[in-house]
Amino acid sequence: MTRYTFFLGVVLASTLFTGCAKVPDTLHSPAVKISIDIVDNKEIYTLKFTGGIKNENSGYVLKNIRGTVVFKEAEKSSGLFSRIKKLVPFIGQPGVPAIPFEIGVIPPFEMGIIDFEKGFTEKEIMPLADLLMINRDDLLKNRVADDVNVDNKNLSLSIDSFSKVNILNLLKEKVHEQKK
Amino acid sequence: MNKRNNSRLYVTIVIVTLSAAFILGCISFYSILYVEPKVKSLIGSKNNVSVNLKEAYLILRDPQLFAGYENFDSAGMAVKNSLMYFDKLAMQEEEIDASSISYLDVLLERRMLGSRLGRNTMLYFLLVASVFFAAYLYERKK
Repeated sequence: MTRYTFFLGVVLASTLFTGCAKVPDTLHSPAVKISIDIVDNKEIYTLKFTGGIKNENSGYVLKNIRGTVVFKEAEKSSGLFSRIKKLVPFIGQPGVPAIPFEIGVIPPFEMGIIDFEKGFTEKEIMPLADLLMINRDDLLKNRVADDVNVDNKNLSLSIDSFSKVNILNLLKEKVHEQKK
Repeated sequence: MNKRNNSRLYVTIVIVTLSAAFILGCISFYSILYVEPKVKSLIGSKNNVSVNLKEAYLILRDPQLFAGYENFDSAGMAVKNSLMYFDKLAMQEEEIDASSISYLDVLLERRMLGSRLGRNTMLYFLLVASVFFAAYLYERKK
């Protein structure tokens, strides 16, 4: 009896796993640009964040992907504090802005692009500049910090919601619509 | 000393390998005798080229069991790129013209490799079954 239960469990588990879509968990080529603009005689620090999310499913289109990119301090020591931090995922660096994003459609094997741009005050942006080791004086002097590549260790990607659509069904619908 | 009678073991092995060969044969020959000729005729058709090529792609988008689209080595990158290309065309409702036939051939070739692998595995299982059947007959004679 236990053998049959085990066999049934294996069959059910494999059916369940083959029916699941892979959720993107890595950001590709994350980069930040901070520029200082003058808006209404006020200095606005515009943060532009770009990064890619790859759909690694061969049979599913990912739709309406909503999530957040959180900046965090890279692991520096193996002490007790860092071990406790490991147990609490997606904990952001205090004071550093998080990047909410929404991507409409990512077809199989394709990359969805996060393109975030928002203005912040100096007080809001400086913790991020410090985290990315952007020199404050250089930023104030050059008015821009361009193409700052972010190490994935400093980021965590959290997907809050998405829907998956079988590519074959989607293509069939499209082709049959065209035939009509 | 009593000699063990292995005939039940041989029969079990024959049944299991024959069942596996039957399942593999059904899957492989469905592709060899039905799917692949249909795709070839759609690709080779002279009328309604775009509609027929899209129909062929829809058939090829559903992978053969032994030639899935999950894992690609360097040789399989052409297949992955072809899938990306046709998915994009079909999703944007663009026409597929005759110049894309070579990319469909890449997908058809992968399907054919999968079905041939299934057929060859079926033949291997049939061989194993026949060896154990011969052993069973020999055991019965003793």
